[in-house]
Amino acid sequence: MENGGETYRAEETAMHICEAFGADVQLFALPTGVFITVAIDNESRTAIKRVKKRTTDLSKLEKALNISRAISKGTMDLEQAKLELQELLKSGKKTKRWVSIGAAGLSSGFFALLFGGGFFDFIIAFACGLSVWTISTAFKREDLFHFMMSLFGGMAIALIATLSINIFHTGNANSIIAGAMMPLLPGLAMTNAIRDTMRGDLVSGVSRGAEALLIAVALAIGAGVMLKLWLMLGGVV
Amino acid sequence: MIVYLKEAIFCFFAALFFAVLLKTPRRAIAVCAIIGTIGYIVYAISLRLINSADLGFFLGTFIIALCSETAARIMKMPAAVFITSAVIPLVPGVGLYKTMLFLVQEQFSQALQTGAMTMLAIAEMAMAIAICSFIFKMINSKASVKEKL
Repeated sequence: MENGGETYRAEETAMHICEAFGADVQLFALPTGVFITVAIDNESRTAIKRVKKRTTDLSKLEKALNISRAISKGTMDLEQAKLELQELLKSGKKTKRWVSIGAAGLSSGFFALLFGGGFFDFIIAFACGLSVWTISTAFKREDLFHFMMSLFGGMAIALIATLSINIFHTGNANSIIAGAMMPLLPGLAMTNAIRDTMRGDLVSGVSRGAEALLIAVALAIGAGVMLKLWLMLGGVV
Repeated sequence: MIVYLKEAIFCFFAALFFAVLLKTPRRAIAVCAIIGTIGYIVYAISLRLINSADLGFFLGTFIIALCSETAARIMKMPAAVFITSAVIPLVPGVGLYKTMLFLVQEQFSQALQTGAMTMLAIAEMAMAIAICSFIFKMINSKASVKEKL
């Protein structure tokens, strides 16, 4: 459920599923783990599931919702649902790497254009997006994934932008860097954090906020260190 | 007018590829991009005509959330699918970048100013989304009560 959905959404979905099978259920979802107790005929079971990876995969989100809807309508039984969910978990690697890398690059490029860049800025931001996403896939297995990705991503963006401007003597560093940073920004996490907090899911709101803040700060520090070095070496931004 | 058109086109593609990046279901990608563009245009208009970025962030995000909730009901997908990539062009990335730039250049008062404005913009966007989903929740629960009666 933690593919970028809201906390309450995950809780509600699980509740619906269990109620459809006639079970009493209490559960508590956090961005880092889910606690669930199910009671059927005076016999209760408790399970704790740790959520380690937090990525955004909207297709999975949508499919999970469809499954839960089918269950609560009664059109799907337990075995079928189990099969479907297992298939859902396996389907994670379907999207090819170059598709997401290319999408990241193009998205960065168009953001650079949106922020007042010219054609040259589009190309450079495109290159930034490509390289950052290529780097990020290398870090994907690590525990520090988000933090490191933002830190090195910010550094790589600033480095490429300043270097290319210096070599070609044209272009606008502001729109390149800001554009290339956009796909890395935790925009969703930030708004989700505030929404969770407003709904009363205080713990998950605060923890998501902390994560989003950390990523944004890492990104800014990465780019900032590079720009600082650049300024110290006599460059102009 | 040409400025708006240019921004709309750039915004459309930026949101489109961002939606691809987030593995949005294929039939929703174009809808995401269109909603994102509408929201950004609302923001751009309010920025230039009323000269208020704050109101623009709120209104733009509100429109995005409104369209997303509607699209979610039409296409039977969670609203988050649409909101996530549609809202991205409005996220104040430039504000964050400028804050960082001012900090690096040791212009602290300006850094503080842009930083505060960026935080405010993010809070406004979250507000807009929350208010909108609240409204739709209320409509929904009223409808379900009627069904039971």
